[in-house]
Amino acid sequence: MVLQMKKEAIRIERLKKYYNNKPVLEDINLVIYEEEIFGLLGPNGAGKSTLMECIVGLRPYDYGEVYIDGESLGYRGNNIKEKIGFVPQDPLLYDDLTVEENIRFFASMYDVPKNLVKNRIDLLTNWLNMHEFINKKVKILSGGQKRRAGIAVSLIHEPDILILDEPTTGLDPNIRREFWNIIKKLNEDGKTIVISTHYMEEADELCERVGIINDGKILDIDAPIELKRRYGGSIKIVIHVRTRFLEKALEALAEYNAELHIDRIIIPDRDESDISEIKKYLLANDIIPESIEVKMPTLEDVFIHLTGRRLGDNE
Amino acid sequence: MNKIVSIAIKDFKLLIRNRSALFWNIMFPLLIMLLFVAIFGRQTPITINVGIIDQDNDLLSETFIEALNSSNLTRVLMFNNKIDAEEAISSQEIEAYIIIPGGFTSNLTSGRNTYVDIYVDMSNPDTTQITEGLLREFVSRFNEIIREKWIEYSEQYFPPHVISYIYSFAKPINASIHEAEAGPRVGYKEYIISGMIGYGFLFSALASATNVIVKEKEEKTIKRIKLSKANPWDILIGKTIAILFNLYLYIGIMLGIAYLLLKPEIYWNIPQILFLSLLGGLGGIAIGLILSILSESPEAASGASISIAVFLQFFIGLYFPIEFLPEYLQIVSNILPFTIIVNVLRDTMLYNIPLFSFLNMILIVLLFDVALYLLGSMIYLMKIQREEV
Repeated sequence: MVLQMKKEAIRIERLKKYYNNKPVLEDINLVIYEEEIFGLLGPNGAGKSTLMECIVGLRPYDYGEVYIDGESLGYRGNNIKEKIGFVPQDPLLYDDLTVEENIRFFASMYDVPKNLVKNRIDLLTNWLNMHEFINKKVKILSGGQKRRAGIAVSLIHEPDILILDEPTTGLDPNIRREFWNIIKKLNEDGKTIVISTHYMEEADELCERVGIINDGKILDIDAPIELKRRYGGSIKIVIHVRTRFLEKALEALAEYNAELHIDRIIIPDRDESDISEIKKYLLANDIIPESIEVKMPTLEDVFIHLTGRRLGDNE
Repeated sequence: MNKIVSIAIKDFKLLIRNRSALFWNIMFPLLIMLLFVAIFGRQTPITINVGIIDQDNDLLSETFIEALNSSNLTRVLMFNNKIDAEEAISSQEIEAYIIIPGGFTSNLTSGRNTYVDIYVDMSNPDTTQITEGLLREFVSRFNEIIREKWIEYSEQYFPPHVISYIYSFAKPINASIHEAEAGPRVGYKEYIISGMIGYGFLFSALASATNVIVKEKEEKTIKRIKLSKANPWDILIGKTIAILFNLYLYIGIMLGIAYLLLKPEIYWNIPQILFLSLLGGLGGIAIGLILSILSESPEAASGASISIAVFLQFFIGLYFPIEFLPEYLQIVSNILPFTIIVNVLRDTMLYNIPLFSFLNMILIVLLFDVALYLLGSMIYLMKIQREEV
């Protein structure tokens, strides 16, 4: 309800994009509000990066329109460019320049006044903790350091909207958490964040609203909690057994209304108190379970419900 | 303007930080220049080793050997017989040998004809011609000296008008060589220094232009620039300036090294050299730009530009006069704008000919540069608007 009262930062209307006459984005309609963190959740090849590149003006689209702060992207005036910061999947920096040289170069590409650049670099260095590598050439940095440098470059012109294309892909879990904190801080500073990811926990942790995208179509958009309530089902018990025992286990647990979900058995509407009894049933049938756990509904369940497959299936 | 300068500085930094490009653009041509000057620019002529079998062992055969040995062009090695001399030829110890027959001195001093046998190693066509010519010239000069001595000796027996008649009979034409006042002496080092500026048009300009554009495309950093407020003209002009800086850096270093190490006698008409280099450089950049856009992949673009540069270096008179090429290739070479600029540069540096003497040629090259650069720019701008660059 609160979101409805917010101003629109990005509006996408009936956007279509084709490659070699094959649709890669089909009739995308989407509104992203100011100061929210919006997530695009979908597997690799779902169309997330293409949609983001259409939003920032890197890829022309074949039909529809994108509005940034009420202005059509088709016009792509410099005032629109100033409002957007894009963090691509690869940092896209000059390897033979230092981080500071990269930031300074892109500052001049956005006409950032020279007297402000030094101050902004200092702020970004502190904020993104780049002290130890600000004067190093990009080619010798680690993956995480490069990503931070990439974010700094995208923020040097102080955009209102920051679009991040899978910013944590390939990073280890600890560094991923660091990035989540950075993104949250950016949002607290008043920036509108659009993030694409194929990590459901990332979308769950960060995003106020999530758009589930698959095969170039947005299947639904809402707050993670709403999506889970709508599609994720109730609390359930998830049982992992060896693949060859799946059928047998399903038969053994028939009276619990067990369901086969790809490589696991799910028993809906049950909680921890049922686990020991279920285990007995399985052992009586000579089935040793690999794991039995109680699961709250997740965005993965939402995705499975909407598409019939898991998020990682394309990877 | 600010963006153009930033792009130019950024690209120039990237060019000079690329060690491999730096080697091929600056170090390699310097090595080529120094090597070619060492090989072809020697002031001291080559020395021919000549074997002598002296079967006369008398005054004039010794004079003959002494004269041959005193020449800077020849070094004499004595042999006792033909077998030894043939062995020395086979082992390439000598390039030729001469047999002075018995009676050489007595025949010459008693007014009779004589001869020498000269055997030349024909297995090496490069030295054969020089050796043969050199020894023929030596024998001819030795004949002349003998003749002069005879006539001098005859002066005491004949009246002057008869002596004069004998002179005209023995030596009908007297040729003497004098140095004409045609400016400084042009050696190979002066020739190649002006040519090496042309090397920069092909490698520091043409190949670097392709490299700078495809690298941006390959590493996708062009995406970030496209997102910014920079327009495609800013990118193009910025890159052009960076490549011209790169070309001038090469020319500066090359001329500096040449000045210090080779001490060439050339006219240092720097403004004219810089202007002509600008024309040559723009032509190179325009071709590099078109190659980078038309090639299907960055690798193909780099490969094409390097191949064209390597091929062209032998056709625009960098290292040798284009007259060395077969006639049909000379026709092609003469219409290449790079050849025109290299020739004008050479005339500037070797003979100090002012620019206005070449106005027609300059105009042709300028038109070529502008047409090609505009064509390249149009295609580049068209492609960058779409998603292909």
